[in-house]
Amino acid sequence: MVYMLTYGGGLVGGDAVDLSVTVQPGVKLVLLSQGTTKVFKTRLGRRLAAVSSHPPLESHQISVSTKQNITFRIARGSVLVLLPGPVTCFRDASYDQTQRFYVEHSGSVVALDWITSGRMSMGEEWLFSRYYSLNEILLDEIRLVKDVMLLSSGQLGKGIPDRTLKERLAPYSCYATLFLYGPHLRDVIAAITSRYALITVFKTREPTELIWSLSPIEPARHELEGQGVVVRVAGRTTEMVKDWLKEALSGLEAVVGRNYYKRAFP
Amino acid sequence: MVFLNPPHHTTALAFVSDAHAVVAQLDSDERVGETMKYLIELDDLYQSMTLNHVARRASTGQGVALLTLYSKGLSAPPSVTGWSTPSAEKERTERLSTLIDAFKLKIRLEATRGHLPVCWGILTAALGLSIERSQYLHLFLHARSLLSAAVRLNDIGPYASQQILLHVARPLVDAEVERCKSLRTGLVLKNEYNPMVDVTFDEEAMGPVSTWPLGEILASRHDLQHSRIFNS
Repeated sequence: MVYMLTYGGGLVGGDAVDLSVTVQPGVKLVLLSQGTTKVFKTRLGRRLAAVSSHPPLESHQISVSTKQNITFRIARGSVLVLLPGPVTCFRDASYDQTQRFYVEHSGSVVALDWITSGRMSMGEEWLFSRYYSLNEILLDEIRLVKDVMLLSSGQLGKGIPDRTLKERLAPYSCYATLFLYGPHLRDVIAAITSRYALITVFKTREPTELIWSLSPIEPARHELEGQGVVVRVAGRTTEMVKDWLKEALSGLEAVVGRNYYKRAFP
Repeated sequence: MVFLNPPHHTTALAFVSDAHAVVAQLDSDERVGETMKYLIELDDLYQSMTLNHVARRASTGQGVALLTLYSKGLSAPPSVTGWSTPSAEKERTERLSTLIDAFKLKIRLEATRGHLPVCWGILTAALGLSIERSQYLHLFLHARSLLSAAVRLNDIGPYASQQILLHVARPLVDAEVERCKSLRTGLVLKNEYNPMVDVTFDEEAMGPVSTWPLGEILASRHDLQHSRIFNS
């Protein structure tokens, strides 16, 4: 079990994290973070000297994005359980994340990628400027899944009323995407799939507290079907999503051991 | 209106543009094979990027229907007595028919899926539409389908739907085409016609993305509805 740490408890504009993780054959790795990944406001690309004396004549303020780029290699028969805390982007933050999972035959991967609306305690809700997240899973170089999400604020065009991120994502304040793939996860996938089949959607007056969907992973090649699922969850609070995930993934206890699993969702 | 503004899915247009470009470039019979290979690559990428299984199902159904429309209804008839077509044009349409029939066969053999944006790009290029018209029409038809669904759901009436299409959807489609017209998939056909290959492709700026996670969840849950009024 490994915790990923960030310096000073968060990432600031201009930070670029490049990480490579290799899981050797037969190894089971639980990869967690300490709490949420905080992304601070984008620093403006202005030199310090300009701040001290007089304001610059022209403000060449170039916003600098925060980037995180992680490559995972999951060898034969090994398991990667990636269950970090959610990403929290502060007001005006700009964040780009790319995660690529190279899975070898008979390897398995659990990958959770989730985001909260911001610092609710400060009244910040979906006020960051950009959140970009790319997750790609490849099995022996064949692409199984490529999921790219971009949440950004800004008007579409002149004369068109702006619909803010908050309006588009309400009433939920936490969104999660979960990928489950590989032979070690057969029972976990079966459990969550049968749970999904029990849902019947009726017309409702109020949106539910938590909503989720499940789709099977169907790569271009038909023979690779039936090995994984993609789950998406949205909840009114981060806590609700966390509790739901903890329960839905409890079958992982049998895969990585109870003591390790319980630390994923403290 | 919520579904129209902002459009929640900018994935498709990159595929329309790339499929259109490669089919529009097809200028000799020898290159039919390599064009096919590229189209299948595009189709595969679209399959792996469309994670919502309901959308995948609808997309392949409509894609194949478009190709059938071309080969049965829009391709040149075998012979119409007394009419002559310039031979270059005749060659072109025959080549396109060959390509489209071969692509349809691949779909039937389950060697590829035949997704709507890829098939739309193929169809519009085969009909000689410019890439700009193809992109615009694709988004316009998307907006029209959303409104037609709203009419079926009895949320709005048919007259209101027309008004919205003309006064709300139009500026939205204009703005969206403007924003997405240069999006590409990043897959490029590598041959002597395209010596500059993916050197300049910036995935984060030019790649296809989805922009509305709530929409993804809602759309994926379609099959769980107690009563359904849509076919796909």
